[in-house]
Amino acid sequence: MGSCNIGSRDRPDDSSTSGRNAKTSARQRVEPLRLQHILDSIKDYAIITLDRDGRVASWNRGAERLLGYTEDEILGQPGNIFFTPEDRKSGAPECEMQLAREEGRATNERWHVRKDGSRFWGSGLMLPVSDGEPDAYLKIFRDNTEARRAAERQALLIDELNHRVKNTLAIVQSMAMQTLRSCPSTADAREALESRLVSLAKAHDILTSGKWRGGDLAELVTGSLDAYAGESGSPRFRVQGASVRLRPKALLALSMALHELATNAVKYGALRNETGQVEIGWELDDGEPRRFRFHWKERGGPPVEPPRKRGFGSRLVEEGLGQDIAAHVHLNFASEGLECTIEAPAEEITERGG
Amino acid sequence: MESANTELGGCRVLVVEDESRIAMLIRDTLEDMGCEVVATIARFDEALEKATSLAFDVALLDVNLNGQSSYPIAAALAELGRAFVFATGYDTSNVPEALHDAPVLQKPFRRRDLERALRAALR
Repeated sequence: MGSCNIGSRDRPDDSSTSGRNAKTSARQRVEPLRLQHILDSIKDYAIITLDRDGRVASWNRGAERLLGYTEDEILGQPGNIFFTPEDRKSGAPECEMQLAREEGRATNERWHVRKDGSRFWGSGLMLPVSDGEPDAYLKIFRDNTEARRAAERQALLIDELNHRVKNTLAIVQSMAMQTLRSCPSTADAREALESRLVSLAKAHDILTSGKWRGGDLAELVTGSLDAYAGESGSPRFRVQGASVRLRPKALLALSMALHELATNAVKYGALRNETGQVEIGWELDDGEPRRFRFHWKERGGPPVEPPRKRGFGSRLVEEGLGQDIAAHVHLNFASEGLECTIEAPAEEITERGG
Repeated sequence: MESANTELGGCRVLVVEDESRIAMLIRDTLEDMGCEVVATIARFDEALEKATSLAFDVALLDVNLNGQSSYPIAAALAELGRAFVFATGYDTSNVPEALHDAPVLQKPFRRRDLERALRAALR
């Protein structure tokens, strides 16, 4: 584009060059047949010349193939015919010729319109033809739509990636601040923060391997709890639930909740001793609208005492799931073991509500 | 000492943010500053409704709510003459022209960035 003042076109008055004249002179000019052959064999490139008025003076096979007009149809027609209406309105065709004249070249990177109305991204350039008569401009371009679309997709992905990175940094910031605030000692804070970050990273791994389209709940549960299964031989977890394909947001939220529940169980609950167990189950009911129910039930651990003050872990589970997947979370610190129930609209959990 | 110099004590803030952990951080930071968080909302429809029905002094709007842009909420607030701040990790060059004057809080943020953005919105 660059600077281009389309008002300052100066050219000798030559309006007598009608379409018919241009057509005839173009035909006469086909002298070296060999050159025409060469031009026509370049099928992937439109090679076009325009006269001083911007009318088509020659048209190769590549141009016919790309734009759909035959040479007979197009000779003498204004060369802006294959520009988009938007570009025509903004004076892009004139601008291109002026730039070619003044700068010696003008890039042609834009959407073009075929005879049938369809569009493609043309990449190429326009050059002035010195002492050319009737050819004043040479225009060469090819269909670069695929590359253009790929570039657009990439720009979108980079934007999205940037958003995710910044958002993740803000999440890390939040976890660091809250962990520092709620832990009694630096050593506690360090351990809690590290394990929260590792858990977040694991959830991202699951999402990445599923191309950010989500993941399977059973896999998430077993993956999250693997580290806590222990070596004692007796199974610590009993997991039962239907196959549920989680949305990315639900996967991240439940991963966070599982982590908080498991670390709490290690510190105060059923995973504190060698024999305690956790029963985990979920279902999607048949109600209208469908609901998702998840439970975590600890048994066989030391007697549970309700916490004197609500920690960041409980807050992450209750507020976090409430906010992220519109869940109602109930934490019951029963003396025989912690019970956590999570209930959420199925549509928050899985695509198409199941 | 910290909340004394903010001039934001008692300020009522509506927080619209879809990521719970960021919402918690914003909420805690605001409360440390002496502000009152009137609601924390994650969803577009609810946010649009609360933005027009709740009483507050300034709204903090996450630009991207689960993939949905919050610009329409901002436009509704601007229409009502209510103050708001955008919060985003995005490059802000694509903020619509009519909303260009709104302060932007870049995520992640420092407490003083949040203070500054709120004050700019309330000016």
